[in-house]
Amino acid sequence: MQRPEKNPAGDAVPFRGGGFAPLKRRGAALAAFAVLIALWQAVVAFKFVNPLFLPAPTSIALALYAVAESGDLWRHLAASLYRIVTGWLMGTTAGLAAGFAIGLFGIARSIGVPLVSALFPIPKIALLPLFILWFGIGEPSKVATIALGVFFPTAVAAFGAVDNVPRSLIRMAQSFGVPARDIVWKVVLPGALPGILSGFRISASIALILVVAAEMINAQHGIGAMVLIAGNLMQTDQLLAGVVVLSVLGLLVASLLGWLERRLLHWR
Amino acid sequence: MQLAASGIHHAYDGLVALDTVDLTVGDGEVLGLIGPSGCGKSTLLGILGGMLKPTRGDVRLVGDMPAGTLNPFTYVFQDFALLPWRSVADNVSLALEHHALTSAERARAVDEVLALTSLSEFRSALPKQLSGGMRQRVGIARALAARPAVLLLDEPLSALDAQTRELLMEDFEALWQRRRMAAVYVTHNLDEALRLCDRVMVLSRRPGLVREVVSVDVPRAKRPGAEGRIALSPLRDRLWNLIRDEAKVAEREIAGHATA
Repeated sequence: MQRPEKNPAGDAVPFRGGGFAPLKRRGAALAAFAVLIALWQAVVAFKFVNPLFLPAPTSIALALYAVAESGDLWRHLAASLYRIVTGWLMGTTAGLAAGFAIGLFGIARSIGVPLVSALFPIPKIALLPLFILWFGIGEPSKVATIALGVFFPTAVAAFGAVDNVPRSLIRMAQSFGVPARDIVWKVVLPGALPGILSGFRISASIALILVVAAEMINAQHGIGAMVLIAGNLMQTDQLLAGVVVLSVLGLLVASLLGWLERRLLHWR
Repeated sequence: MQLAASGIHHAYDGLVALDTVDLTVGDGEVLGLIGPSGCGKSTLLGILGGMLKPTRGDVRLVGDMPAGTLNPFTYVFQDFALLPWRSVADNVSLALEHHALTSAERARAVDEVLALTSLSEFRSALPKQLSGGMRQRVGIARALAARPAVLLLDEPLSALDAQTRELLMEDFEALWQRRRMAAVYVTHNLDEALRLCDRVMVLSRRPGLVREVVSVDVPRAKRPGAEGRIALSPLRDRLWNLIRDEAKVAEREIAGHATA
């Protein structure tokens, strides 16, 4: 190629690639939190809002300390955790069993899929009054509400996860003469685990929502009850302290599930 | 021992995939199956190993099974079909776990095929850590572990790049030298078929019929390299002429129907 007379060195080819790659800024999230809380504190301190309607972060912290000190917090927390854990375990066990049955057997699928689709959209909290009539006002009605709320998303996640196990792997196992039972244990179950674990994220947050709702309808103890009672007494600092506890609980559950995923799904 | 399939006919949804195919695979023989895409070669391989039911016809193993055979037909798959959560050794062991072996016997069998496929040092690696070629070696080791009477290979090198394919062909050649066993090798790659097979069966497109069976009469040892390629080239032309027109139709096909 002939060099042009003007500009003999030529132009450098400009860089146009790179794509969109949002970089992680360490500490940005923490700083944003700090700014938000400081702003909130300032808004209350300069009396822009009535502290009764929006208590300052410091008074929320103090209220939290007070309920922890008095032992009330632990009683409420224990009651909520008991309901969440038993309800979630019951719903998860039944949901996994139903989901695997739907995923593996034609008859279960023909019956199960329409049934689950019909019942899934019902807001489970609407059934609490009925459960109170059935099981009484105590723990069983709350646990049953949570279990039912957990059951459906777990069943849907489990059968979707079973469906997503590559058919080629199942055919491979068959071609090696692996018995059907072993195929379920060695191929279907581990292959479905990622989908099941993401189902757990959904069901855990549903359990958290339902426990608060159930405790607000009727309970002496539980974080939901604590929040409701505080609201009735206009103790907004204690009310928000309860909300903070709920948010920490949600974060803990999420990080527990994250840890479980890293442990069990390291092969991905 | 010989594998004999007679009168294999297979149709799904009224579409005839295979029409009265007869074939035999002798002791230690490698039979290649080639043909344009949609000629039913993978279907035929599925039928040979009992993974698909033919609409008519039957497959028989005639004669004594080789000593130590745990599973008469094992497959090597195009997509490897490894369990991603199992290590290399555990993927291989899947083929043995349901057989009546002591754990020491199983461990020995796994070690043996890992050594045979040069995988010993990768035994605890996960599939995601391996290259495509290594993954397929695991697939081959797994298939060998059960000591099949007939090894069934379904386009085993099609998912690999050209260089890896070349390396694995060398591996297959070495393998067949050390452990002679009957095999059916499905491929659409003519060079693979000519390098690795004793006879090559050409199937026609829908309905899959046997067009011709070609013997590869160049000795195996002479097939690699420039001279081998020259010696094989008339056969390659002949095979390509048999397939070319149909491959062209197959290429222009839209989801199930030929635009004639």
